[in-house]
Amino acid sequence: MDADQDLMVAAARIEMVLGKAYAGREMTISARIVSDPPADLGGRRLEIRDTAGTVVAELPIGPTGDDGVADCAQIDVPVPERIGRATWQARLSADPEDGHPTSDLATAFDVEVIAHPVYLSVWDLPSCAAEGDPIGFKVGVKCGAGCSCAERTLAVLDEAGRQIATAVTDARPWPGTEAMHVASFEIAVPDHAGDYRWRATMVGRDGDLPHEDARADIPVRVVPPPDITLTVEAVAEDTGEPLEGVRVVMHPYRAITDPGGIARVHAARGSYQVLISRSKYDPMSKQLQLDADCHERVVLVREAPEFNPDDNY
Amino acid sequence: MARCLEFSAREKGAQVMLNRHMDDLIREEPFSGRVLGIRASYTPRIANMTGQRLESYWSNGNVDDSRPVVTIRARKAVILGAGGHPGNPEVRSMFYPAFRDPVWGTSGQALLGRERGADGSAITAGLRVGANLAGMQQNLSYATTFHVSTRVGTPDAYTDMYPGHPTFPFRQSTGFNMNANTMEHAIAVNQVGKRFYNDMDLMRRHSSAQFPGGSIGPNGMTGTDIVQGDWRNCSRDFIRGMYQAHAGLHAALAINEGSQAPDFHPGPLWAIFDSAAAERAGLDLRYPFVAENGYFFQADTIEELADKIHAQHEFQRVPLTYLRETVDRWNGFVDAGADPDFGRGEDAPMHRIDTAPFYAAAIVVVWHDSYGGLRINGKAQVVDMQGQPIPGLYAGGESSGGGNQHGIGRATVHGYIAGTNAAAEMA
Repeated sequence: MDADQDLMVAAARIEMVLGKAYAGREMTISARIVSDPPADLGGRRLEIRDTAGTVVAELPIGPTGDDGVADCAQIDVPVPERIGRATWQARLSADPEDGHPTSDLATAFDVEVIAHPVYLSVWDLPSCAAEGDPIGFKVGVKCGAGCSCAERTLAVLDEAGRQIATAVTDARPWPGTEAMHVASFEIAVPDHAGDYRWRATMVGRDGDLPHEDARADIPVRVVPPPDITLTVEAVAEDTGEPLEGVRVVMHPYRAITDPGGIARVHAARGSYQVLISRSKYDPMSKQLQLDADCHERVVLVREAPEFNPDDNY
Repeated sequence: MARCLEFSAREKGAQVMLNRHMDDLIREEPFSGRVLGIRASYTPRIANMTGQRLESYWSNGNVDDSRPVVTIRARKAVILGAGGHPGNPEVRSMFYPAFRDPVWGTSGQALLGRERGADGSAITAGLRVGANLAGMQQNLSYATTFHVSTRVGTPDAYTDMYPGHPTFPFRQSTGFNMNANTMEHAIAVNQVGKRFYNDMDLMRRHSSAQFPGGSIGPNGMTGTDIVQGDWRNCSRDFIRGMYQAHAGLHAALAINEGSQAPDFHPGPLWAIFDSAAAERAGLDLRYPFVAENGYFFQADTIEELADKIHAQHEFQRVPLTYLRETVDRWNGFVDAGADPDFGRGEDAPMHRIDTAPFYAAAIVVVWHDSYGGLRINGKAQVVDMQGQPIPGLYAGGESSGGGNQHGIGRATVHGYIAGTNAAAEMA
């Protein structure tokens, strides 16, 4: 069968399937050729040409099925470094048998070159801090297009967008992650109580491929200096022993019990709902009016074993 | 108990044909006459990791036959004991449309087999020869029949098999316990990545409706507390509890932005948490509790977590478009100390989800057992649409409908009744 002849009489089209085109990276590209009636494209390839007409890839074409669909192999092609739309072309290669230099079957398609996504996470941030006190927290960064974020400079911006601190990420990824690199910060909070919203960002550097200007919120709650202390003594109901690791939360204050079962929450006077929880125990809550230092003993009850519906029968 | 009966039957010369599925009943006429036998296809269970067929514990009396389809003539009668119908989305959704999504298998699906376990084959075969149904509404009468399992990260959330069990390859992970208290450290999202209920209440369940209050009823009574004939055995709280629908289950099964025509499936559910949560809650996130089986994921970022779930979970039909937004919103609630969406933070602390790596564990809704099935009379004979017994056809266990029990007790009693009566039939 003469493929070109076949294609001349057939209604044929090329359908492109493109992966994400991150600037300067590789993009996965595949295609299918649909012909009606089915055309034999054996031995031919689909040429991919960039804006300048340079062949950037040749996709081998698989056999044509009875439905007229011939799938091309998936291949990775380099993406331009400049973000924006680029118009490329896919053209069926010449028939190796009859020596036709070109084929008329071609299609233009747009490649949307995009900046690399930047993912930022902020953690270990205290739920509040007293006026002027320093707070410590971590910022992790990862490039969604695979750039290493090791030893990158991260910055913290205040509400006005002013850079108030920088830190460099670790050379090694954060434990448990593949490529999240982390920088530690310690910054004094403002001198006046209130809610502030700082932001973390990655500082660009010369020679970088284009990256999104991603920002991660850093909510900073500044409170007046505490004037009372709630001491929580947590014990287990079944053993009477002190319980370590019990979380005491009276928003926005948080504390955790030490090996002696003691947690001290330094807070402002007021009425609080105190929430207490620990793994393997039932959580509990108490409403407390705190006008002076206070000691509260809480008894935590072990949670019931996993419920088995068959126990009903 | 089952092993004893099996042993005894084999010793007495019973023949056992395994690896087959009962496809059809054969009746003299489509809707009249005697049931003569069955048609059964060869459907062995092949362990996907070993490629080997699962074999029975004992083999004496086994009839090993691998013809694609066999017809078996009954000398006296056919007794249907093909299990219930929670494993068949089309059958179960006749009376509980919200449960049509095949993402939810039957309880113990690794044990029973996802394709044919509890697949309602007795119901479908029975209906084709004119049988009636009974007790289908009773499926909805028991709070324990449907529940959101506290075992997450495994396709079979009702059981806890470990490596070494013959059916472990069908689940690949044991899963881990994430009960109401542990959900303090997580949020639950639907297939588009949105919260849909108070995450800590999602897995709380009410006991089944019982009168008088049973051994684990919410009135706290034990069986010995019951005074026969005294209506006060059932406390006011208990009665209230009986009629309190489990709204979390309805929310879990509700259609959402990702439900698409023509089926509008609600899709899978996910517990989303971070490494700080895993440490606080003491979660043991390692094999065999979790595995790369599409029911547990770990990623450096929330965005990557969403992408992995979409790419690798068999029933995740749509991207978790809102997951990033949901986590950000949740973290805002934690910072503010209040959850205006679902009221968390009243009885337990809330925690930010912000520490890499991030995790997603599949939350599974379980249909535990079925009470509805083929209508039978006191002799365990299957009854037709006119209320008449179908000659030569008996049913028991969850293949039959009505009654108030399930499991091996029900099957044993029905088996005894059906067997006794079938044996008395003329050959």
